[in-house]
Amino acid sequence: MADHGALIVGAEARLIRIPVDPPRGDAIQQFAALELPIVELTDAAGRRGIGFGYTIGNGGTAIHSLLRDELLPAVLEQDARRTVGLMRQLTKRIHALTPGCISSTALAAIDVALWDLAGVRAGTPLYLLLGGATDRVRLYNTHVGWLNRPLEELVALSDEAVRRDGFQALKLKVGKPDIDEDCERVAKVREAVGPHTTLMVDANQSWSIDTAITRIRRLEAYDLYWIEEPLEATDLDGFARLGQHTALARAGGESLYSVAAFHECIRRGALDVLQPDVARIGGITNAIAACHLAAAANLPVAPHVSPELSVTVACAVANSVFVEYIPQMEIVLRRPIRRQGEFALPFEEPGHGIQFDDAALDRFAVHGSASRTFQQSHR
Amino acid sequence: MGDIAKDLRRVMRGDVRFDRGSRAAYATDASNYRQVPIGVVLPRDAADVVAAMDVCRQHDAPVLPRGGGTSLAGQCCNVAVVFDFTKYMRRLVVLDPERRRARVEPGLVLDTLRDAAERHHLTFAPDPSTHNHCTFGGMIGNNACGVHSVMGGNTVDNVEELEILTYDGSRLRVGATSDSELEAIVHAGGRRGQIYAALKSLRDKYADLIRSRYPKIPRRISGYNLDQLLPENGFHVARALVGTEGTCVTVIEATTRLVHSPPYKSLLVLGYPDVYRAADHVVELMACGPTGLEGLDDRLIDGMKKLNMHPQDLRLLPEGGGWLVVEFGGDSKAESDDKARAAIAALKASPAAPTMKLYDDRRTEKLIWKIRESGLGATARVPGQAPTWEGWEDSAVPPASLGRYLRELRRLFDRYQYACSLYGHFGQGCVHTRIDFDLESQSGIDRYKAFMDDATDLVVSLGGSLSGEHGDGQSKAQFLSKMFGPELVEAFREFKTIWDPRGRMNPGKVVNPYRIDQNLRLGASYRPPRLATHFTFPDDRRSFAFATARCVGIGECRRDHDGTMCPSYRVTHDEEHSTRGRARLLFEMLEGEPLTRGWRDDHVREALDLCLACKGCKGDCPVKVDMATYKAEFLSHYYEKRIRPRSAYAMGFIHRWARLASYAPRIVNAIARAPLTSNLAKAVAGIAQQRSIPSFADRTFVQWFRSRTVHPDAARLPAQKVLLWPDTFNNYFHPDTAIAATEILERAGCEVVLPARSLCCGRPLYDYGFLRRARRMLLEILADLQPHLEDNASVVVLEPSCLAVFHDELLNLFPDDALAKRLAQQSCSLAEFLMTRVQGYSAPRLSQSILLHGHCHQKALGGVGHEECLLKEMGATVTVSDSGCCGMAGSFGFEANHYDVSINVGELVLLPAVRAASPDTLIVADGFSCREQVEQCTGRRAVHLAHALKAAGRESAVQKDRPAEEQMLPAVARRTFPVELAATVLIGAGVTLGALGAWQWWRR
Repeated sequence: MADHGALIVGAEARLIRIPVDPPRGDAIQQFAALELPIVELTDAAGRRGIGFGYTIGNGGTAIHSLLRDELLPAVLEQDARRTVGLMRQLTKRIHALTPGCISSTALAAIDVALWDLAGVRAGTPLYLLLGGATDRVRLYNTHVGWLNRPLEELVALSDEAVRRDGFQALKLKVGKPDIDEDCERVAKVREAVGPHTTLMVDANQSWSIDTAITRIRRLEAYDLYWIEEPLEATDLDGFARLGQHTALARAGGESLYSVAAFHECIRRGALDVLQPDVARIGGITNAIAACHLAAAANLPVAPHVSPELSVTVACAVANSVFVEYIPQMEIVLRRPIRRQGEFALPFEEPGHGIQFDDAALDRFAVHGSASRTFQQSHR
Repeated sequence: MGDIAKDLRRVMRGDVRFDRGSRAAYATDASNYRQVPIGVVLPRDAADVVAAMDVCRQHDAPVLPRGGGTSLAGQCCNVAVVFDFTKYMRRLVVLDPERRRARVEPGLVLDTLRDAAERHHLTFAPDPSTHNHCTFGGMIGNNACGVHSVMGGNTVDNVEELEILTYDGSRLRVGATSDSELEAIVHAGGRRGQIYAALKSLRDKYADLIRSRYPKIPRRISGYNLDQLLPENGFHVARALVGTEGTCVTVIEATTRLVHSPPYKSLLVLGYPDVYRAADHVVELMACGPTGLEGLDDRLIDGMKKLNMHPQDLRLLPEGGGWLVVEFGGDSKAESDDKARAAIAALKASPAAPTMKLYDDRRTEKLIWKIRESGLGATARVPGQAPTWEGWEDSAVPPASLGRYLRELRRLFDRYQYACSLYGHFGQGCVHTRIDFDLESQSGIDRYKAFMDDATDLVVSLGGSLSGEHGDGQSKAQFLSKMFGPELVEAFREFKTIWDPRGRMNPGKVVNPYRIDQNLRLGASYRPPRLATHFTFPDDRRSFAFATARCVGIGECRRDHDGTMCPSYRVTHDEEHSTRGRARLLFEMLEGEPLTRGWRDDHVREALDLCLACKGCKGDCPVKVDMATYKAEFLSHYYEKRIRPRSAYAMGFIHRWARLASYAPRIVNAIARAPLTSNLAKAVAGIAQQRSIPSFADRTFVQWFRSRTVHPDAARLPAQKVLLWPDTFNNYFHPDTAIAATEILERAGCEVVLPARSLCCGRPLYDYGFLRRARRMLLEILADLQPHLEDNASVVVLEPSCLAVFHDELLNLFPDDALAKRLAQQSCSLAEFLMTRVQGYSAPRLSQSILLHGHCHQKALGGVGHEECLLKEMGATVTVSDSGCCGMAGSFGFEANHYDVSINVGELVLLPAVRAASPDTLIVADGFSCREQVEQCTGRRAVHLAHALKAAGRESAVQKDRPAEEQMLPAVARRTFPVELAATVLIGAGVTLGALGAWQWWRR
């Protein structure tokens, strides 16, 4: 007989919007708010799993509606143990809406909640359940390197991050109109943090192939680990050609919304470091698949943003090199990500271990039952 | 037409209902036809009828007088102003036992007169099976008959005088008319003289034809009773109007004949190899002078077996495949028995003697009659078989031809591939059949028409009557010329024209009739929407639409006595507040016209509002209409994404509030009891101010259970494991009940376990349509109980309404879930568990007089048999309260807008019974709400069976003058809650904090 305890009896969605003040920026976009479409699943035995996706400030309501009106009703009374099967069913359900960031972010919120529930059910931390390749992974700090930070602030924060906070890798946004300015910013930071700190740069898809080739040639002088998204994410031929012009590792993947897109990148030799985004690729199931795909091609992975969640994926697989440190969710969490020097450590509680602070969520709630407790004593 | 309602309202004192809901409720009778009326009026008295008729005439509106609305031939639905007499004009005006006469209003229910007359050993002989709710107006309209027509004829033979109103406003008193009277009336002229003159010339013109063409059989119901105008019948104008089905006049008052009713009856049942051979012996038996002679076949009995109806009673029948039920009457038991024995002796001598059984105790006789009266229920909706319909359901032939008729009719059925049972008033040659016509496709309807053509030919060829009981209406009128010839049909038309020259009385029925395939309620275009529902309706092809078509219109829900169904109708006497009215509205809701708003229709909600969700209908309705379930389904959609009334949250989620209150029960109780705060709390929660809020216990049952030192006996091995269900009521309010049950179960050698989590069956949620939440709670229960259920542990449920969730709603919501089925099978009441699942249980002694009241849900789903047996085994003298709902019905009676109905329902049966009980009688009621109703309305305190078991075995006798519960269970009886002065300050702060906290907690 089926295990009735694993049937999903509660599926709630809500939308949180945390303003980013002042707004962050990169070469092509403003980052004015963090939107969190959050999903909470409850099974018949009273166990809860929490999942979420994120946006950089717009489209959250579309994701929320998709969850509330289309996806969550279809989750009720399904067997939570059949994570992959259930996700496949849900994906098909909204397939005609075209695969894309909105659909995959909505699906991700459910997928993450299902995996969280799986961990809770098994009484096991999720990174172990998913493979447990390692129990720590290096962090690189992106928070210091926003493109709209004045140079002095950039240098001071970088120095502080390395000397005070123990980070040994920093990522700087590039893409200022004038390449000299980009070079100056990287040079000053390199000067401040010394030769042993890993530096990477991120152009956020702002260049064309000719710009990229010339600019990367100038930037190579500062001993960088990778150049991230120099070209439009879909320009796979461009990425492949760029590989013939630079020794810098080409990183990317945050703008790919399916495992198939990763497969294509790998097949065409477009990227050297793959950066699946747990939300945008459709959840943990797909993120892990992308990581394994990369492993098969002998490529490293560095999951994009959301360190609290990415650390679970990164520690589950053997080919991860970094997770990205942007502590943007901390304001609604009960506890920050676990750090030890330059390493991020996964939580050791069953599931992914991310605990939202109800009162904080209430403060930032946009949609959904205004005050639904996410962390109850059931944990 | 718009102004007609306004004009009616201006002149009438009774009700004028032209809203869509009322029109929908009266759109059909008990037939296959449906015509939405213009409006409904409920006159208060004769003057009101006259005033309403004037207005109708001014507006040239058709008029349809209506009784109980149980017509089977379509004569009680029409596009007309319906005059419903049953709410106000239901008086027995005069009962004159000396002259054996009664004067009645048209809305009077037959049994009201029969009960009153029976005291004088008199009765009104024609007794249709609807006798407990059919009205005189309807019986006169239809020329109704029944089992005892054998003894005293049909309605036409029992009406002496009528006071009538014609469409043109003439009010006449009509009856038998001597030649001189006739002459005087004609001479006096006026409308009356004109009518009588016309009747006389009609009679003279057709007398010979009437004499030659009217079949001389006991059940010639088809056609007008023009024979009553013949000189040999005394020019009986009243009787000529009997059976005109509202097509000629409106009856305002009737004077009826009463006949001697033999006070003693003996019942003989004869078993024959088949129903045909049973029919062959009818004439032989009629010679023995029975007061009733009914027949039934094995298909009927099969249907009853499939429906699990009266399983014990069926064993009472003698061997056979066809039966005759013969009743003999006498002024003494010896006399009726002698007649029966004489019949037995006579039959024994004949070749091919039947198997015979003579019953002479009233109880068994009642059960046998129940089998016969269950004919409709046993044939209308049998699982796995197509639904059956009226249409050819009451044909009659000369009794001597009955055997032949039945054989030929069966051949006809076979030819058309119809499967149906044969039963009916065989003594008078009348046959009841519900046939599985397909009325939902054109080919099916064509087949039905062809069959009707052949069947009418068959009956006419045998000298019979198309209708032998239910009238012509629309379903048989088309064929009248076959039976009477075109000249007599013309005579009917002339007769109607004399009374109703403008043709406004129930047009299109009997005379100038609609075809039998017009106005069909289903019809070839019937395509009800397939609605997504929470309940799956496994017995209704998993279709809500099919469920709403379940009601056959027989109107059992409109009776005033016996059983539970339908308490709200018993109080309001409004069609919309009967099970039938509600079922009709739900059907009409799916039709989309006149009810247009679907799940959001306020008329439907209003009709359902007074439904107590007692499930009385599920138990009592012949076709098991389950209104409580439909109501929950409807409300869940009606309130989808809407805010419900406050009481829904206050009481629907009582399990949550109770859990919250259990943190500080004393403070909550103080608030709930103190003068001002209690008023405020009740107002906020939507609770009636007259009610008191039940008190929360200091310590819940679960707290008690978990903190106690284990009973030494419980360690004994091997013990039978029992899961005791800690329902919200017995856990938070009356933990003493559950504690008592724990002790009893442990004493019986069981190991008692509780669910791991705090759970609730969700019963109150159904009342408000919170079905998503209810589903969720059931899944949580299944998850928690899974290991116990797979261990085969029994689940003992103390609260009957919670047990009903596991036996009923659970399976309707999860019909394919194996674990749900296990929970339904493994859960039972305390009494059932002790009586059937504990080996060698020895009940403790309790010599005590006990009034046992069953919760409605208990009665609807199996009854209180186990409780009664257990108490009797203990040595108690048990009186089972004469059924009926207590009126509280869960949270219903607590709600401010239902308080009056709740009290009135309680006062119908239970509360008077409790007050009448002697103080030393212990009142046992397992339902929490029943106990609350008793306590809040009578001052007595009812106890749960568990209390009675706990109190058993005590030494001292109970004193006669003090309430038994106080002496036997002082702890239960004494529940006081001191409100100290200091608490008042606390309360003020408490209310604010509590409300805030509750709000926060609610939103979690």
